[in-house]
Amino acid sequence: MRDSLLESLSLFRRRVAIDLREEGLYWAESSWGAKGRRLRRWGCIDRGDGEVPDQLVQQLAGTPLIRGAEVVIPLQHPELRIRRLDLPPLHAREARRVVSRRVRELGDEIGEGANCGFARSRRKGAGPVWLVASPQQFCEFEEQRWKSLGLPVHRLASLHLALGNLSRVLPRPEARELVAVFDMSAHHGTCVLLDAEGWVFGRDVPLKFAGDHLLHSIPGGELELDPLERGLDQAARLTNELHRTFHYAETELHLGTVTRLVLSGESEDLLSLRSLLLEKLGIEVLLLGDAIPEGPGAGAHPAAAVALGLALGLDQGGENLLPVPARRALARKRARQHLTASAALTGALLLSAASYLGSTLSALQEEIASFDATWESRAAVRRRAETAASARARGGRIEEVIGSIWRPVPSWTGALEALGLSLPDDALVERLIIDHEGTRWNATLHLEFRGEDVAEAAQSISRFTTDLGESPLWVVRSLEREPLPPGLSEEDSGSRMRFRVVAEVAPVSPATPAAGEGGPSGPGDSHG
Amino acid sequence: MGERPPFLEGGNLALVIFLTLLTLGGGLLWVGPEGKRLEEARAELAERLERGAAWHAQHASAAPISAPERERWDQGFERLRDHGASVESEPALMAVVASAFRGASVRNLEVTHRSPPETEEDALVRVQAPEGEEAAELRPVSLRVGFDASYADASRILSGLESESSPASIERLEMHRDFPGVRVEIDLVFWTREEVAS
Repeated sequence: MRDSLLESLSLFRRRVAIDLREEGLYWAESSWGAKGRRLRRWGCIDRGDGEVPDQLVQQLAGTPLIRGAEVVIPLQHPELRIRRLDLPPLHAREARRVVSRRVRELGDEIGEGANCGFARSRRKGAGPVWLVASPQQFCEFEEQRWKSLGLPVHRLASLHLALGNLSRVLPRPEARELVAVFDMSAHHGTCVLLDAEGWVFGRDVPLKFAGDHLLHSIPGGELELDPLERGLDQAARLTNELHRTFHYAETELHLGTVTRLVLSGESEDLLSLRSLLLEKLGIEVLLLGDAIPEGPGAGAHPAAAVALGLALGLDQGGENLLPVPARRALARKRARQHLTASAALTGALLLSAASYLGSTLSALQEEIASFDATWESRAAVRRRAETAASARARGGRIEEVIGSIWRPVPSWTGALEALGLSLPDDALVERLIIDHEGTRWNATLHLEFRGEDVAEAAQSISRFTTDLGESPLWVVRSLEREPLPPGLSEEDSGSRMRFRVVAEVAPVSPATPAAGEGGPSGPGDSHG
Repeated sequence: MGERPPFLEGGNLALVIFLTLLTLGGGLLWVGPEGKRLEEARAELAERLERGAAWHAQHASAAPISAPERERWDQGFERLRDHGASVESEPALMAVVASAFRGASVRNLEVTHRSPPETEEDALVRVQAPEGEEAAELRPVSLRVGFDASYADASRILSGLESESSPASIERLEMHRDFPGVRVEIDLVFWTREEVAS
C-alpha cells in the first residue's frame, strides 16, 4: 500500500525493462522527467551454474528495483507484425482514424484474435507511427508465464521496436542514412534498421549454430576450429544474410543507405565477428557500448541492448501488447492507486486546512482575549490618567490662587526705609501715595523744602531723586515743583517750596511654597 | 449504456465518491460556519485593534504627575488651607483686623468695607486638594483702614502686614504727615478662611 501510494505520488514514473537471455537477466531502468523519458541505469544478473533462467526472474521479483515500477518485457514471435507509418501533418482526429484503420488491417493479416497497438512519436504534427500486431494467444501466454514467475508485467513490447528505440541514445544518423542493429542470441539473430526517429525495418535471421560458438570456425579465430559443425560457411552465411537485408532495404524498399552496424547480444565472439563484418561489409561496425556516446548507456554490455531499448520506449501505451483484460485490470489498479493517493492527499490537505483554520481561529481568539486583558489594564491606566488630569487641573488652580494672593507687591518697609535714607535734612514728606495699576505700582511723593535759596533747594531735591533712583526699589519718573496753593502768596509761604515726585516702586515676588518659610524673595530681594 | 472507464470500476467509484466528499468537506470548511467564525474573529480583532489605536491617540499625552509637581501642589494646598483668618462674624472680623493695627501710638483707627458684603460673598475662592475630597475656601474681604500713629508704629504695622503669614495684602497706601506722627490710610484685602468639611 505504501509503495503504491509512493508510486502514485511519484513525479517520475519509473520503468524497469527486463530481457531474459541464456547467460543471464539484463535489466534497464528509466524515468519520466521534464525532458521526457531518460535512461537511469542498467544491470544484469548472471546465471549461476545449474540455475534455470526462470530462477533469475524470481530473484528479481519483489526487489526494490521492481516494486512500484512499470515492468516491460520484450515480445518476439514469428507472426508478430510491425509497420511504420509516416503521417503527414493531420488533425488529431483524422490521424486517429487513419491509424485505427491501418491497425485493423495489420491485425487482419494475422487473422482472428490479433492483439494490436500503435505508438506515436509525437502527439501533434507529422511524425512516424509504429503499428504492431501479435497473436493474442501468444501475448496471453507470455503474460501468464511472467505472472507465474511472480513478476507482474505492465507492458509487453515488440523486441524489434525495442531495438529501434536505441536510436534515442545512438548518434543521430544523417538524412537517408540508416543504422543497423544486429542483436544475436543463442539461436537466432534480429536485424533492425533504424533512422533518426526509430525503427524502419526489421528481420529475424535464423542461425543454425549456437551464438556463443559462432566464430569457432572463423579462420584466424583464437579458439579451436571444428570444420565438421562450424565451418567457414556459417560466418559467411551470416554476412550474406546481413548483406541481403541491407540490400533489400536500400534497393527494394528505398529506405536509405546503411552506414553503420551496431552489434549486440550475448556472444563471446562479438569482437571477432565485428572484425569479420568490418572486412566483409565495408561499413562502420561497432559494439553497442562503444556506439552509445554518452549517458548511462555508454559502455553498456552488448547483451543489454533489448533492455535498454525497452526502457526507452514511448510512454503512450498503445503499443502495449498486453492482453486487453490484463491491461484493463492494470489500468483499474493504477486508477485505484491514483484515487487512493488523491484521497490521502485531499484528506491530508483537508486535515491541514482544518488544523490551520482551527489554529488560526484559536490564535485569533487568544489575541482577542489578550487584547481584552490589556484593555482592562488600559482602563485602569485611563482611570489613572483621568485622576492625573484632575490632579493637574486642581494643582493648576492651586497655583493660580497662590499667584493671586501672593502676587508681587512692594516691600513697604524697604521702600520707606530707602526713602528715609535718601531724604535731605531740609525736606519733609507731606504726602505719600502708593497705588497699583495692574502689576505696576505707582508712587506720588509731595515734598516740602524749607530754605531761602531756590537753587540750593532744587539742587538738593535733584540729589534726592538721584539717590532714590539708585535704590533698586524706586524708579523716579518725574520731578516738578508744585505751584503754591490757591490764595497763598510767596510772602505768605515764607521760605517753603513744594515738589512733586512721580516714581514707581518695584514689586517683590513673594516666596514660593516650595521655597519654605524664608519670607519674600525674587528680583526685589535686595531691598535692604 | 456505454462501458465504464477503468477508474470507475472495482470499487474505484467508492473512492471517487469519497474523494468528492472530502473535497466538498474541505470547501465547506472554508465557506461554512468555521470559515465564517474565522472571518468574524478577524473582524473583531481588527475592531479592537482600532479601538486600541484610538485609545493610544487619546491618552498618549496623559503623562503621569512627577513627584516634585505633586509635592509643590500639596504644599501649595496646605499653604492655602492654613492661610487667612478664621472668623465667623463681622465683629470677629473687625476684631481680628484691628488686632493687626495695634500699637502704642495708634489713634483713630477706622476699618470700613470697600465693597458691599454680597459682592464679597460671590468672590469666594475654592480650591481642592490635588487628590481626595479635601478642599479649602478663602474669602477676600476688601477693607479700608485708617489710623494715626507715630512713624515707628506705622513702620512696624506695615512690616507685620507684608509678612507672608499675614492674611492681609495691601492694595494702596497713603500717608500724610500729621505732626508729630503720620496719618495712614491703607486699602487692603483681608483673607478669611471658611471651614470646609473634608
